[in-house]
Amino acid sequence: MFRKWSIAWRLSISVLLASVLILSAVIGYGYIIARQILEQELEDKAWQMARATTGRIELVEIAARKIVEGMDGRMEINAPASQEVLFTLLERLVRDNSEIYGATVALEPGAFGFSQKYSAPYVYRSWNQLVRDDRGKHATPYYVQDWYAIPQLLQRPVWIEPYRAEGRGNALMVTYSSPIIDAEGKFLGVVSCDISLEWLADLLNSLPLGKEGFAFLASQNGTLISHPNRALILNENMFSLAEEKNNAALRALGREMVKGKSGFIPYGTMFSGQHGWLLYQPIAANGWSIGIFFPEGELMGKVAELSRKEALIAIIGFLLLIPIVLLIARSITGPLRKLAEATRILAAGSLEEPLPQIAGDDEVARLAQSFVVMRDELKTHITMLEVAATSKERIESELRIAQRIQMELVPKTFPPFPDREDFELYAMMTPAREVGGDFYDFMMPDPDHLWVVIGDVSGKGIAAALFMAVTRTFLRAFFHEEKSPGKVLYRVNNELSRNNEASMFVTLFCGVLHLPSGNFRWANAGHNFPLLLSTEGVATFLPKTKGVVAGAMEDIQFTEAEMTLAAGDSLYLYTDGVNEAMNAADQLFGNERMQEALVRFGQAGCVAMVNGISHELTAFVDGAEQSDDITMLALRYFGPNGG
Amino acid sequence: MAKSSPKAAKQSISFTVAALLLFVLYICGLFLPAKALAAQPVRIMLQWSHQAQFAGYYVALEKGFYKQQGLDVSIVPGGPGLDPADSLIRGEVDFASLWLSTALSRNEQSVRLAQVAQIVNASNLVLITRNSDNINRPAELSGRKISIWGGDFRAPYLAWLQSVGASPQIVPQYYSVNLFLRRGVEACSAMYYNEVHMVYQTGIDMEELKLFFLQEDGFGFPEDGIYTTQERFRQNAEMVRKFRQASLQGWRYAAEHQSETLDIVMEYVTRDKVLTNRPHMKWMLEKILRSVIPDAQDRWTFGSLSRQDYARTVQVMTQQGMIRSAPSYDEFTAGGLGYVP
Repeated sequence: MFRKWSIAWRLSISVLLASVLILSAVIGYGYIIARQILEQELEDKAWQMARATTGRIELVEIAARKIVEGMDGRMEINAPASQEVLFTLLERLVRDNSEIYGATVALEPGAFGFSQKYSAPYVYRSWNQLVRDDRGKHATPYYVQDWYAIPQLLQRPVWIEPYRAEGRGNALMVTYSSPIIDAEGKFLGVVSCDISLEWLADLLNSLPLGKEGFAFLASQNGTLISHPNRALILNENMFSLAEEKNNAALRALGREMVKGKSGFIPYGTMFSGQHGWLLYQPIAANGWSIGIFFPEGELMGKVAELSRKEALIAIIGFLLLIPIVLLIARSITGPLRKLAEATRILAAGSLEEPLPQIAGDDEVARLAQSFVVMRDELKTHITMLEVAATSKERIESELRIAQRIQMELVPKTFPPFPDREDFELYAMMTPAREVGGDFYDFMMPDPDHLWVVIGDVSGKGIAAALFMAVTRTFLRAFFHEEKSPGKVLYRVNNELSRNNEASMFVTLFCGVLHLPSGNFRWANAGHNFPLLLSTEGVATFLPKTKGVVAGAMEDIQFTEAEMTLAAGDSLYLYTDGVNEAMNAADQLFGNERMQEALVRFGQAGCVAMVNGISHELTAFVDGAEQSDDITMLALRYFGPNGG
Repeated sequence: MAKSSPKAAKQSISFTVAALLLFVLYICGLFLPAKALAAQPVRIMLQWSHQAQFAGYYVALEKGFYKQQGLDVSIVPGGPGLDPADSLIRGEVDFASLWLSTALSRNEQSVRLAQVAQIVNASNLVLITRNSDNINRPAELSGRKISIWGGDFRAPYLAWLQSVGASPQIVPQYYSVNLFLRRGVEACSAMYYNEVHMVYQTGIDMEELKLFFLQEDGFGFPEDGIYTTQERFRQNAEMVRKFRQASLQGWRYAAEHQSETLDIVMEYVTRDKVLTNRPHMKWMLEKILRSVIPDAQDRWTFGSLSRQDYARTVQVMTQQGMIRSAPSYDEFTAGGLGYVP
């Protein structure tokens, strides 16, 4: 899929994707680190705040405790004499201690001996005045109330669960009660003092917790004593809220708090529907617990704001990056696409189409330059090929013409003189791939004389063929007029040498056989001397005569030699294509092999001789390319009366 | 302004029509049934401050069941220092919600009471202990300090402790369970529908508690009922019957519409500034309804006291020295009034 997209797209998308990843990683990392730092700072601050707050609450409570216990101790040592004494004592106590709302000494009937009934002198503040009251005369007996019954039964001072004081402005109160126990351990009553908790709300509200943060206090039972939502106070507790919201985590937190544990925990949506942290810590003096909620939104607002700005910058950067990347991608792939287009046109053969011009010196520009060079070389090459093809074709047609001329000039009908019984003659010419210029000929100007000639024209092609044709024409003309081979060669040489501007020449061996006598006379113009095969099977070269190649120079004398052939003698004429044939190992066929072959095949007649030597030669060269024409002519004399 | 415009004429016509309509309505009103116009004022006093324990009466009032019977009912909450039996005897209220045992003991002391309906037929009395205190059987309470309510709630606990052979050290228990929570005692008396859940709401899980239900040992007795005096019943039996009918209708409706009932209860507690919360009231409503509306296994009838339960209660109270004598079942239930017609 991805591979099917263009390079520009792949490059753009890859770069942009990578940019997004990197930017996200940077922003994410920054956010996490900033969060961690802030969280740590927050936690430190939270603990300080909680300690300071609990410290202030404890101060009041410890003061109340000291007052009650001091009073208690005093009564245990000095038994009060009357209710009046108690009232005076209580008045002084409330007046001197501003934290205290009211104080009571509640007695068992008969305690200290001055009252047989339930008696509880009580002094409390009302509009900056101290009011006396006897709680023993209230409708509800005090001995059923927690502030009396619990210290009585536990035999130790206790903090009573906070309550709303009806008839006292419905103020939130908490009572500290301590039992009065005499020397014998007899319970005489309790001393208690009430502290208004209204200031708690102010204290907790004054904490710098922002708009969404808040602090709350829970009693020993988990009841909410202070909470920004006043409707919850005393009605609800940690566990009722947990139950209402079916929130097990909140219940677990409440249990931790009432057990006097402390902690700083990430606080889900237990209370307020927002995320944040909750610090909780016990107030050691009375078993309460303070909880301070720090909302995440507000505290992390700055981090979030920072991250938002970073993200905005990243998005803008990203948007700027898009055209840049596309531009770069296009600057690379645009020329490539143009080159691809140009290549297609080039491939179709339109070499003259202009190639795209690409500025600069980068890879693509260099590629384009290479394309120009390639195209130019291609053009040159094609031109050269065309020239080469033309000349080769011309040469080949010339060779074909020359070959045809050559082959047509030599007689190919054998036996040439079927009615003659006094001799036989056979010749063969195998032209090399490129014409050599060999030829042979024979002629009987009259019934008694047989001319034979073999030659090799120097040079190749049409010129050589024509030169051969001219040579043959001269030879044939002079065979009629002359009786001497030396004279024939003399005249031919002169004719050929005259106007020989091409400086061509030809080697010729020319001989005439007088058939009635068997006399054979010959002359030679630079050609190989033929072999004579006697009836006894002995092959010998004919004796040499003087003479140079014909056509080189005028007025040259060619000497003659003669011999008489016995009946059954054979003459073997050849060109250097035979004895100078080479095999693949660059060995020459050589005169000796030629002579051996002649001896081996020559007795069986002219056709057998020529074909046998040809076979031997083929076997020797063993497929090596033939470099020169191979021409052989065999003549066998049977005597005047035939064989 | 002197000239009468068409608009003013139209207005005066409208006014005439409206006046006629009002007159017709007034005439019709004169012939409406008397009870709709002048409902009879009736007061019932509860044993305690408003809470789900009394849900049926709130529902009967709020859903207009009392009104349908021609009664203009006021519900008077009780509370610490208030005694509904006293108020009933003094004639301050027409009806009182009382425990069966309270009614029996008060009956003996002064004015004869008549039961109008037995609302709570199953017992909710429980003794709470902590698992950590390892009290596996009631007999293991012996020698331990426990707190038990005084008054009319005391007898069933004492009888139960006696029967299971436990002799704990008993200290008085008043309104709160704080003594138990502060570990002043190892066990305390409790209403299943109230204190058990209060303890749970101080962060003690149910799994951490071991509850002894008195009913399981045969010491469960009928609890809340509606009472009036024999005298008032004789004077106005019709009104008493109507009150009974409407109250039972309220309870039945409460059982069938618990969510709506809870809303009504919360209105009452909020209005009266009772310190409580919704989950607690929900618990209380569910538990109280279980002992008001019988299921297939229960052998009592909705709204009525059975002769057997009456006899059992009288027997235990007599044994415990709470009463010396008791009226006959028929007299106590005002001549069979308690039976559902």
